[in-house]
Order: sequence, then C-alpha cells, then structure tokens
Amino acid sequence: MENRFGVKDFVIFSLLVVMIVVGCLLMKQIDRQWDQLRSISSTLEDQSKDLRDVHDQLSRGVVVNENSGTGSASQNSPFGPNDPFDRIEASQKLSEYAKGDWLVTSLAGHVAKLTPLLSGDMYAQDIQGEILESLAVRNPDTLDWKGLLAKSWQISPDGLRITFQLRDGLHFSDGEPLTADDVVFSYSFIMNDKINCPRDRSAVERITSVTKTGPLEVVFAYKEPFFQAFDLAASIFILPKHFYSKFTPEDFNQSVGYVLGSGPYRMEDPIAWKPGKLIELVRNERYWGVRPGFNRLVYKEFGIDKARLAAFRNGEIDDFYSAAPEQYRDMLADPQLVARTQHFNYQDPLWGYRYVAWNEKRDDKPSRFADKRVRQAMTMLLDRERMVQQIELGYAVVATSPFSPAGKQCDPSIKPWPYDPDKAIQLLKDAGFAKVNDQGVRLAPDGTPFRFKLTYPSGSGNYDAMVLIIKDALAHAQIVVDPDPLEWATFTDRLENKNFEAITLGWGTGIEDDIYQMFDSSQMIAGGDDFISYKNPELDQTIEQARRTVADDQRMTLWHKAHAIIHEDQPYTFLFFPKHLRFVDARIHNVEVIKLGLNPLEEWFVPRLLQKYTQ
Amino acid sequence: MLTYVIRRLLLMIPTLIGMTLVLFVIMAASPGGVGASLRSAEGNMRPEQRREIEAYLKHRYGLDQPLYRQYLRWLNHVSPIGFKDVGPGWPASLPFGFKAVDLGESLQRRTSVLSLVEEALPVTLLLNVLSTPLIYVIAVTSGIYAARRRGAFMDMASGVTLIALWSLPVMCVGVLMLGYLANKDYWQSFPVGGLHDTVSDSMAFLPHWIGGHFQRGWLLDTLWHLVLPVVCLSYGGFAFLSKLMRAAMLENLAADFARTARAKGLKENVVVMRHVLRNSILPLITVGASVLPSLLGGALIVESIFSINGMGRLMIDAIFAKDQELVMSETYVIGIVSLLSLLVADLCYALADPRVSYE
Repeated sequence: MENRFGVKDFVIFSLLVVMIVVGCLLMKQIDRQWDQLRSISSTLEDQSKDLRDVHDQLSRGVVVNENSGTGSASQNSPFGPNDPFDRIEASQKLSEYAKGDWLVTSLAGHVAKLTPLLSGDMYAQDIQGEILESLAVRNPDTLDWKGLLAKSWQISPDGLRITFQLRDGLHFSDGEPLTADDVVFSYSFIMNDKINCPRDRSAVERITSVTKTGPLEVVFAYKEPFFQAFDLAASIFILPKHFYSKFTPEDFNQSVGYVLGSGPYRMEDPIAWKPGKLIELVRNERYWGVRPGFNRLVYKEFGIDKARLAAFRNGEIDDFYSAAPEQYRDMLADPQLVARTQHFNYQDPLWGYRYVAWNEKRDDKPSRFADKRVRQAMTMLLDRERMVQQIELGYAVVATSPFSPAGKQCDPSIKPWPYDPDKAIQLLKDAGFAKVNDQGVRLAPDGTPFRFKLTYPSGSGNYDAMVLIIKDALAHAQIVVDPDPLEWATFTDRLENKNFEAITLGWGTGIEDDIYQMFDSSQMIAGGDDFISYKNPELDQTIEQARRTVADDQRMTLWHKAHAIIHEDQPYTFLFFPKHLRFVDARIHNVEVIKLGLNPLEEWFVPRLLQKYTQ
Repeated sequence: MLTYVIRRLLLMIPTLIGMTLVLFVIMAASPGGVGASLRSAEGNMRPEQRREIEAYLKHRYGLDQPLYRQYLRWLNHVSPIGFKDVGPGWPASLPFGFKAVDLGESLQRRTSVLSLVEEALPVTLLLNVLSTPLIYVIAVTSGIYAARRRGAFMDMASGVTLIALWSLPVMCVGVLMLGYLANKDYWQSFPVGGLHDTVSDSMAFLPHWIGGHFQRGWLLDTLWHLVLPVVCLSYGGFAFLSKLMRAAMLENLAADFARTARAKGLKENVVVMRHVLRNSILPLITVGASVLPSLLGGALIVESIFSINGMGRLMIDAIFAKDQELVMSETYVIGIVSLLSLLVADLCYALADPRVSYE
C-alpha cells in the first residue's frame, strides 16, 4: 500500500517523458541545422575555389570560353561536329524553355546501394547514369555511337585496338580535371580482385589492357575481335581517381552511397547518402557540357504499386512508368487525369520479349518437340495476335525472333507465322501425330497421348492468363497442356537441370543483342542458357561469324540470316514484345518518343509559369 | 530476483541457438538452396560468366563450405564470445575469447547487416513508440468505460465496433486508407507514403506563419506522415486489448475485495481506479510481452503499404531474395528483443502484483 502509484507520481512520470521527448526533438533540430550549415559551407568552399580558379586564369591572361557550359546560341557548337548535346541545345532554344523546377520520379522498389560497380539493380544504374559519364553514348535518333567524354576514336584494322581522344576541359563535379589517368583508373579499379564487382569484371574481361598514351589519350586492347568491343569500352563509367583511390577496397565494398562523377547532376554530398533516405540529385553547376533544365531530380521509393499510382494521381510524382496494361487503360478512362498528364506507349528496345520454349531432349532422348514440324505446328496453333489483345490489351507487337523490331538486327521482311490451326494439324499428322484416342487426346507416333507440362514462374497473373490461353488453343488440336507454376528459385533450378517439357518466360534484349547465349549449341552445357538442347550447325556458324565481324553492314546481313533460320526452326514460339506504357505530368514539356524509348530527361523542361518547386 | 534474471538470461542462449538453427535448416533445404539468391540476382548473362560470379560470391560469403560449417561460422560471428578473425576457411586454432559481435554481410545488398539494421530499426522504433502507448491508452480507458457501463448502449456499440476493427485485415485497411484518405479524387487529407515530404529538408522545424500562409514545418510534416501508418498499426492491438481489459475489469468488479472496498465506504472512483484497475492490468502485461516483438517484425505489411523503410520491409525483401545472412541476423535481433520483452513482462508481473515473487 505504501508504494502506491499516485497522482503525484503520474505527474512526475509524465514530466519526465515530456522532457525526454523535448530533448530528442531538440537534438533532431540541431542535427538539421548542422546539415544545413554543412551544405552551405561546402557550397561556399566550392564557389571560392571556382573564383580562385577564374582569378588564376584571368591573371594568366587566358580567355575563358564564352560558349562552354552556357548552351547559349552559337552556330558553331563548341563540342565539334558530332555534338552530343545537339538535342539539348535545340530544346533550350524553344521559346517557352526555362531553367528551374524539379523532376520528381518514382522508384517501384528499394535502392540499397548507389555506389557504382557495387549496385546491381536497375534503379541505381539509372540514377548513376545522371551522375557518371562514359566515353560515348548512343545517338538517340540513329542508335549509332556519339562521343561524350571522348571527342574522337580510331579502331585498328584488326579490331584489336581502339584509341580514344578525350575532350579538352573535362572536369568532375568537384572541379578536378578528368584525364586519361581517370579512364585507366576506372578500368584497373574494376579489374581489382578485391573490389566486389564480379559482374562488371566479367563484362570487361575481353579487354586485355587500357593504357595512357597521352594526357588525353587512351588505348583499349582486346584479346580477339568482337562485335561489341566498342560498346564495352564506350560504356564504362569513368570514375574520378582522386576520389575513389582514397578508399581501401574493404571500405569501398562496404560503402552504400559513394558516388561522384562528371555528369550533369551530382549528389549534394558524394558520400552521405544512406538507404532509406530520399535520393536527391542537384544540377552540377560546374558541368563541362550543356547544363540541363531541372534544378533537382528527386527519386521517391514506393513499397506497393497502388501507392505509386495514388502519388501520381495526386501530382506528388511527375513520372509514372511501367504501367500495367489494365492500369494504363483505367488511367486513360479518367478524363481529369488525362487532362493534366501526357501518355506514351512505345517500343523500348531494352524491354525484351515473351516466348514458349520447347525442350527438344528429355532423359538424353529426343522429345516430341525435336521435330521442327511439331514446333511449327505449335506456333501456328497459338493465336499470338489474340494474346496481344487479351493479355497486353493491344500494347504489344507480335514477335518473329529474339531481335527487337526497333533494332537493326531484325529483318523487317520476315512476317510472323500465321494463326492457322488446320495447317498446324496437317503438320502434326505429317510428323506422325495422326491418331486420336477414345478420350479425344492426340497420340504420338509411339502411341502415348500428346500431353505435356507447361512450366512457368508462379505469382504473376499475367503468366496464369497466358498459360490458360495456350492450354485452350492447344486443346483444339487434341493436345493436353498441364499448367505447372513454380516458385522462382525452383523454376531456375529446373532450367539449370533442363528438367521440363516446355516453359514460358521472357528474355531482355539489347540495342544489339547477342543471341549466342540462347541459341548457339555450345551453350547446351550444364547450366547453359540453351536449356532446350536446340542445335542447328548453320545457325551456330552464322552467330559465331557475326560475333567476329566488326563491320556493321556485314554483321547485320549475318544477323538477318540468323533471324531467317530461327524463324524457320522455331526453337521457341516467339509471342510478343510488350510496349512500355508511361504517363508524365503535363507540366513537363518536350517529352517525346524516340528510337531508344523516351528522350533523355536532360531535354525536358518546365515553362516558367508552370514551375512548381521554386528552389 | 537476481538469480532468476540471470537464469532466464542464460536460458536465452539455447533458445536463440535452437531458433536460428531451425531457420537455417529451413533456408538451406528450400529449393535452390542459399545460393539461389546469388543466381537470380545475376540475370541475363553468359553461363560461364554466371558460374564464375557465383563461385566468386560463394567463396566470398563462405557458401562453398559444408552446411554445418556455414552455420557454425555464422554463430561464431554473432556471438560475443568465440574465435576471433574467422575468414571463409577458418582454422580452429585461433584465439578464443570475447570479441565484437558481427552480424555479417547481406548477400543481396552487399552491405553489413549492422548498417542496414541501424538504418531500419529507428524507423520501426518510432512507429512503435507512437503506437504502443496509443494502444494502451485507448485499450485501458475504453475497457474501463465499457466495464462500468456494462450492458448500456455505449458498451454494446463499442463492443461491436471493436470486434469489427479486430477482424479487419491490415492489408485491406491500409490500401483502403491509401485509396480514400490519400487520394486527390476523394479526401486527400494525408500523404501517400514515406516519412517526409519531398520539400521537407527546406522546411523550418516548427510550424509557423509566413506572410499569412501556414507552413507545416518539419516536425508537423513528419507527424502528419505518421498518422495513417500508426492508425494501421494500432487499431488491431487496441481492439483486442480493450476487450481483454473489459473482461478483466468485469471479473474484478464483481470480486469480493471490490465489494469490501465499497462496503467500507470508498467512493466508486477510488474502488475502480485503485483496486480493480490494478488487478485487471495483469492480463494486459502478459499480452504486452507478445505485442512488442510482433510490432517490431510485424510492421511488415504497414511498412510496405506506406513505403516506409523499416525492419519489416528489410525482412520481407530479405526473405524474397533468400538473403540468408540478413534473414538469420535479423531473426537473431528480433529474437533477442522478443525474449527480453518476455523477461521484462515477467518482471512487471512482480511489480504489479506483490503476490508474485521470483525468490
């Protein structure tokens, strides 16, 4: 009774809690002030450094180039004839163009790491692409290469050496100059075994050395001629040696947000970002090229797609990409939303295709699908146009091969196999599948019913619908399909062990795709991606020849030949290339569809009157 | 008392080992094994390349060792007593003694688990610090109120409402809230997700008026972002605890000691607050021990819906990616918290009820 908790105790207890809470809030407030102070002082430091540099240059009597970095109208571009910024300069000449405002984008997932080389996810790579730069970029109009950090290059006749000349006056966002040393460092950093980047390391393994031959000249040497040799060199992000060489490999491997480069945007603090924090990039005011319009790029993470959509509807984010077909249709049906947004559906060359793969070998014996006629019949039994309409609601293109219809590898004269069940059944009869048993199931030449499992990754409504359509279509030819959904890890396990009859899945594509991995018979090895044991010596030869050919025209002829062989053989039934469905806020101007998808966001801008974020 | 606490603390060790061992066996036995996460992360690559990468990572994370060694290695890492400096191929002749606890490195995120937990734990704790008191305040007051007016309209109405709340799945309520309360087309009163507004960094700390315009300020903005997640986290808890509280109160209101207290002339308020309440709080303590750990790990759905990067989201991502070290170490951390809160609940028993003694 004597230690009863009374009113007085309650008051004291409450006061204590209030004091602790106030103390915590106070600490938080001081923390915020400290952050602000630090950012102000680092800006001041940067500015005084720039002033000092300008002062030094002036006192030495150097004329500062009036054109560089301002993007101001000048017929003779300071970036030479192959100007990587011509499109940005054109957008900045538009009458309504204004600098300013922010672009708030969504991330449909979580970014765990921003440090280059360490992060594997797509979102981090997108963000790094705004901060870091490579030697060359694809010309969005022609898909050819255009120099970015490199102003020119020469490829040796045997294709084993590429010499790059860097532009003059390149520098990183902290003001330090970018030279050949940084290019050499970027390569040797990737090749350092202690750096946890096996993926990048194996990607550049064909490069034997990168050597500096002058302050602004480097030479890349290769083991053997390879059609993607230039792509390999051109797409390495150039890392600042003075920044990254500060860290030990262990520190670097453990880091999450060490990112500094020469690109149009930069992190406010190149080492401070932590997962879970908002990702904000600010314009690199020291950018050596043409500075883009947005003051800031903000990336917001969303846990579920409903939240991302709600945020877009509320105008909290400006870009809603990768909409599902149903979402896209529903959004188009909302007049208010359509009025204040712009929408796009386009063929993205990197988006890949869907297919059904027929396993040609089971238990070391040829399976039913080993006969080309059976595979052709399967393709003709599937109404791919209907699939496009029902599953993708029309936002897809029927595929004829693994090559994207947007790229040069695809031979546009090859048309998809027609939907023709009668002809398909005739082909099946020719192949010996003529009889049908009492239960109405077609019989194989050996008398067993034609019944197979169609394996697919579970958990996606899209695949479920597709498999049902396939089951339905094949039932018309008296073939029984048993859907076999599997969890992803089990699924990949089955692929590794080639333990399946038929699967349906998707592959990603590239601007120029290497199909060696999937269709060359050397890849039948355990764990290889020719998991259907498909073999055609003529195709093998064509693919291998194409990969060794450096000249574009000759190579494209070879890829067209490969396209024709694959089309005839139908190792996969190629279903369709889905389109990218995307909404962008109407406030953002100059957004357009180009060969590579949407034009880069450096070309986008917000007219003065529509600007929303003022800082 | 002290002996009891020490005994309980020592008992935690085998419990934790058992818990993590079961988890390890399940993960190792799952299709594709532990390495599956490495494989799926590498995607579209040449097979030789993929194998090389897999071998590199497996060696780096010690996944090429026999299973029992993998487990023992992990156990050695997370334990405060053990062998020092144990690399992937650990010899057993290393110095044994106290050492720093190392929670390992996430296979998928390639960062130390400790730094991930450091980022995520404060967020989850913030959610809990707000929702736990809310749960108890509402549960105790509504429980007392309903019990004192047993059978009256308010009792019935609150009973029905609470049962309804208790049966509503969080997933559903969260998405509905998002769809109605955070949607411009309906009543957009709350933000869609996250903990701060896009422009919160440039806000002042406290709310104020600038030129006749109200500015929320950082503090209010954060609280405003927390409303929906905290409501989602707490409604199930207080619905359940209110009913529990009401039942316990009713039992005690009819007990002999309450009648005696009334008979000796104490006011009804005093009887309820001093005698009945104190006796009725015991079940709440018992249940409270299980509420805390489930809030820690269980904010999983709420964090996903409202795009908050806390422990729940970390855990669910890790499970989907089969990120062995992260799952194991997180379970270890949550396990320790759970066991400690059970112990604290048992000690609170003794505090609330003098009849309970651990001597």
